Amino acid sequence: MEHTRLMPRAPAARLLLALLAALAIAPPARAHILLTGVDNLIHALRHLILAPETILTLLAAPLLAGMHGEAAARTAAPAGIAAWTLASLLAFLTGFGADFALSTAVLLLMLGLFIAADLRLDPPITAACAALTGILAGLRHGNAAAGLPIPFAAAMFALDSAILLLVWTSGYLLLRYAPWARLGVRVAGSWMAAIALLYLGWLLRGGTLTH
Amino acid sequence: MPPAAHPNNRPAALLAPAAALLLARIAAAHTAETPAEGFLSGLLHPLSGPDHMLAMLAVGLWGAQLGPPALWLLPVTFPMIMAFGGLAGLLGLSLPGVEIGIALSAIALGGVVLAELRPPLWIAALLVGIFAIFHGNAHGTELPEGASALLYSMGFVIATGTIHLCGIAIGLIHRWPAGKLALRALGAAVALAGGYFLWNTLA
Repeated sequence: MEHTRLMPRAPAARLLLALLAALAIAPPARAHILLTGVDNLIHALRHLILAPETILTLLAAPLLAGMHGEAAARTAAPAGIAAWTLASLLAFLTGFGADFALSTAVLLLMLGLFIAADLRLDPPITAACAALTGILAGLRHGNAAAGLPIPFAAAMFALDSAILLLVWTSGYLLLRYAPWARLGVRVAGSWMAAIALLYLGWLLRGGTLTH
Repeated sequence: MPPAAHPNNRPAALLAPAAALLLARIAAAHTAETPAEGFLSGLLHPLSGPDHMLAMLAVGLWGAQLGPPALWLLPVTFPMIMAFGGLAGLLGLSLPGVEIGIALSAIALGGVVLAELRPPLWIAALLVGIFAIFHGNAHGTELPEGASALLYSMGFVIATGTIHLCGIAIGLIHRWPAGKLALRALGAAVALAGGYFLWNTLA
């Protein structure tokens, strides 16, 4: 008579059972992060990530610069990042905070149209667009770190800056090494403009900002 | 002994219910508007109206039929002009006979695919743009209250663009002789459906 095994023979099945058992033994729920201030950091970090309109403009600006070649990208990237940094610091130090939803929507519309139309823009203009993007994003989200301990605020700025650098690099490299992507970028630009128009309409209708 | 009853296969039999539990769908009991709902609502909205969907599909079909640069110009024009119409709708500017315009768009865009019309690019873009305003205006006035505006707009535009891309993908069959006929038949079907929508609207 063959006895029923309690443990399976197959290693994969044993591993899976072990994983399920580990999940079943839940770790303690550390819900009291108010005392450590980590919740404020998490809120600050989420501030940018949960702002799709800002993220769209931060995607659009490097794509616009990348479409105009290396010279435009080389002037636009530092302009955008410097503007972001200064505006974020200003907002952080002064506690300045404003919605800028309407301005962001108009900026996104402008960038989207420029990209979709593939207009020939001089490097100073693409740099100005990048700087404007950085200023709005920085002023809008810089004060998210207000009230945080300095190390936490620095961590937040570092993460945001890393995201910005990654986006700028990706946008430029996409168009530098994949010229066929230009068409896709133009389509994306038209979508951004369309999104901005609808968002603008909603804002002008008097809607309050909810994501 | 049947393979399923073999002792070595019993753990596999236990894995199935475990997998089913792990893959369980989220219990979406909270029907209040949330950001996720806004994006999903926007994504699904263009799919909720067959009249909208067929017209947007026909734009992609026609673009593929005309070839570059119309291939990408038409699907770029439609969402932008549609959004402009949506902006007007959101601001309370309702176009008269918008449902008639939408039905006519299906008839017209299906008809040009059927007839394989090849007008100058600017006329094709103009035609698409005119009808896009009606679609956008209808959507703009239908924006649900309390919607997560930006996410809704993103979902909406992405869905619209995706439908165009589907139309383009289908329209690429025109490179084969049989495909040309099939494409024209599709155009006829869209135009007929537009006629049905128009009849329903006027009735």
